[in-house]
Amino acid sequence: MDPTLIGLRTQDFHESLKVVTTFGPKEVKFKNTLLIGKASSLAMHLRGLLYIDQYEQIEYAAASLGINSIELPAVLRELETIDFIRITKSGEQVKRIDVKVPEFRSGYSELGKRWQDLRPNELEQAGIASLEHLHHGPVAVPVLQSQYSLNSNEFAIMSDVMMCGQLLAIQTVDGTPTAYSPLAVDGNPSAYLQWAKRFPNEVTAAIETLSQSQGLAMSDGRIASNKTLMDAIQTGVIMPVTVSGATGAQRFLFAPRGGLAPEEKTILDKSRAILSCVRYGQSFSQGVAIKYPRRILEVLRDNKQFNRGHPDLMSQYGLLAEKLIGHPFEESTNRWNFRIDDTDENMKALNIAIEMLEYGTSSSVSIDLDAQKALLSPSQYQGPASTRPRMTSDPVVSEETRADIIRELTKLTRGMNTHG
Amino acid sequence: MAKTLDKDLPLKLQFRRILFAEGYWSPLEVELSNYEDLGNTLKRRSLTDLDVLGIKFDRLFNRTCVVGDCKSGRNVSDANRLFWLRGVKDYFGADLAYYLRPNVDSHIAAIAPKMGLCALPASHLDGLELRLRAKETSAALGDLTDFETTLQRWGVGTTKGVSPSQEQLQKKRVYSFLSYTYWYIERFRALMQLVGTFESVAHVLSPEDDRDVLLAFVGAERFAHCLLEAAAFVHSHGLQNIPNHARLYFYGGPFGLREKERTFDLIRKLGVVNEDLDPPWLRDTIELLGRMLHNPNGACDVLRYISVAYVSCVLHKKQEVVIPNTNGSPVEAVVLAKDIILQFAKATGIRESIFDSIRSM
Repeated sequence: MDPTLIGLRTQDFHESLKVVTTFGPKEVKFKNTLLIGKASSLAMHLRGLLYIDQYEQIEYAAASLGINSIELPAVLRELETIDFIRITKSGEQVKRIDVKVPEFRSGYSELGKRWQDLRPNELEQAGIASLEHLHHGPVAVPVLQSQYSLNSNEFAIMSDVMMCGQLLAIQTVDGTPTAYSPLAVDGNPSAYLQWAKRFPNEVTAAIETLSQSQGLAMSDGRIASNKTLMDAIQTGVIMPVTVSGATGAQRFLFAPRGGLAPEEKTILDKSRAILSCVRYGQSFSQGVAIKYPRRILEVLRDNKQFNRGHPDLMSQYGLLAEKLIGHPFEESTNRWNFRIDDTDENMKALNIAIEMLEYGTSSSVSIDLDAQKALLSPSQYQGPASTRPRMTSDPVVSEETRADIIRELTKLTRGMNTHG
Repeated sequence: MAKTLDKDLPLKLQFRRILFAEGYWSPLEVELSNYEDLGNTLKRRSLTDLDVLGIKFDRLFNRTCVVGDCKSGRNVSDANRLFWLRGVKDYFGADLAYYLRPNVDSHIAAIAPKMGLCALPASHLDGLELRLRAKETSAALGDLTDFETTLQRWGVGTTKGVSPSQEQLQKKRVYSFLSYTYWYIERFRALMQLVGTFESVAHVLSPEDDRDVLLAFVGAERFAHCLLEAAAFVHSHGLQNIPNHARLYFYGGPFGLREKERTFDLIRKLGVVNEDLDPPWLRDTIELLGRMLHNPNGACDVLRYISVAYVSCVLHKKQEVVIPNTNGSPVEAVVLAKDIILQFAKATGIRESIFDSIRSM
């Protein structure tokens, strides 16, 4: 499996399981995955910083990300191993953490390779692989089980852990238990499962098409001739974003992305709107087409407005005004520019739009604004997430998993475990 | 660097301290050469040497270059030296040139400005040094004893009458490169050649050998200089696409890059190599360049910090590098200087332990 995808999926594991209370199978069977997931999450928040000279700051940020102060040294060690940070100590005290998280590449590849180096167990391997599989469409449970060399007990443990974090869900479709990932569903899972049932062999390719070119115009040949995608649009599985620009209205499609908190959904919605407007400029503008979409977005992020105005801008970016992302303003007669409102949420939406454009996917949808504030504030920041206890959910586990936990505890009680 | 101490040295060190206080990185005795193409080889002709060279980058990555000529002897034709210095200034493309003497005659003081030069007597330098608090600021970089120690460690160290070993001959090429080739070649080529030159001796450089440690530090200093030159190019093209502009710079512009890409394609088709044009270390080096561009407060000072790191951490075995009245942000400069040194080790394959002295910097 591609190390970049492994890195992304480990982060999915951590982000999804951080709100689940500690319990044996999660902590024992998925420890490498969670460790790398935590490292991924922290690394993505450190990106762009040069150094942190107050350890407490990083502790606050980590706490916001679901990494407690006891786990933090282990997570930092992993980041140091892959050369994403360098820790300078004065005696036993951490003097400074120098940050080297790459900016011009995603960095997930190094994290994925590190996960492989840690020799994850079969359950972890199956967990990561099945999550990636489910990102491309649902699959019947027996089929999923047959793809990995897990016995029924092991499969039950894997499913239980993943279900606790809502990485995996099972619903019966026409009598067949079908597994899907809520992370891959935008809206109603029933509609999504029915769609997959109608096009069992085409779903993966259809999702792949959208993932590879996020914000694909509906008039694109890859969609107009694709019955599977047309059906998904008609049944509400995929909801297009409409931009009404100078040459008429156009609709743009995105790969589904679920498992988000309400505030994260708002941010993703904004990112999709931003990217749709840029796609419009690429393919449907009245004048000169956008050649370098990434640069356009980076200019908007760094300068808060475009370098030059354009007559089409008023209509093309009207959608962003509706979503309170910014507002067009008249630069000169019949020449409009667009100014983005410089809020944390809008900047994050822009970054995610850039990631979607570049990598097709974005794990940083769940980048925590509180964690970023904790890292950027001079000192002593106490964000609401780090000061307010989070509601954790208790795991719901199957009989098999419960039996496994009891078996292990019994061995311990009997003194049957060897110690090295 | 020359092997023998000369009587002009106190003046050179004093000027170096003043330049340092003003934010300059200042190598001494830089040799200028010219190369003639003799078919399958190049013949080097030594032209002259610069007593003091000063290079400074500001926070917009603009470069200022200063050359200084120090003469303390009596039998010197000042007018001749001034005309010579004017030529050297132009040849090297320096912005400013200083002629430094224990005493400057009035006619020399009068004609120097007409030639775009500055002639200063020692008394003026003393006053400047005092006003700029240059002795405190230079963090022992202008100290005579430290300079002598450093000088003794420079070079392969062969004994008279004994033929140099294979390893020494390999290292000799690195010394030659640093002493004159580096200053002659086009700036954009310097990074690739520097890394290539050090790669060839990386396996023989030992952390236990004082000479090797100095050589590695000088290499890291030049690595920083190459990155700052690249940063100046990228900055002038805008920061929207740092990786692309950096590659354009390192491969000599759009035509150079296109040509090299095509050549590599052809080589790949021949099945000789299956590598990318970019060497494996370039990706991380460009990431580092990006960090420098985004942190100009520290980046503009890294050259001075690496110079002082050698004196403070290696010669004086201190754990920190402190430069009072620093121009930019001291922590940013320290972090970036450390990044540059370790990236240099990574790119060239030099053992990281050769830079162990800076671990707690």
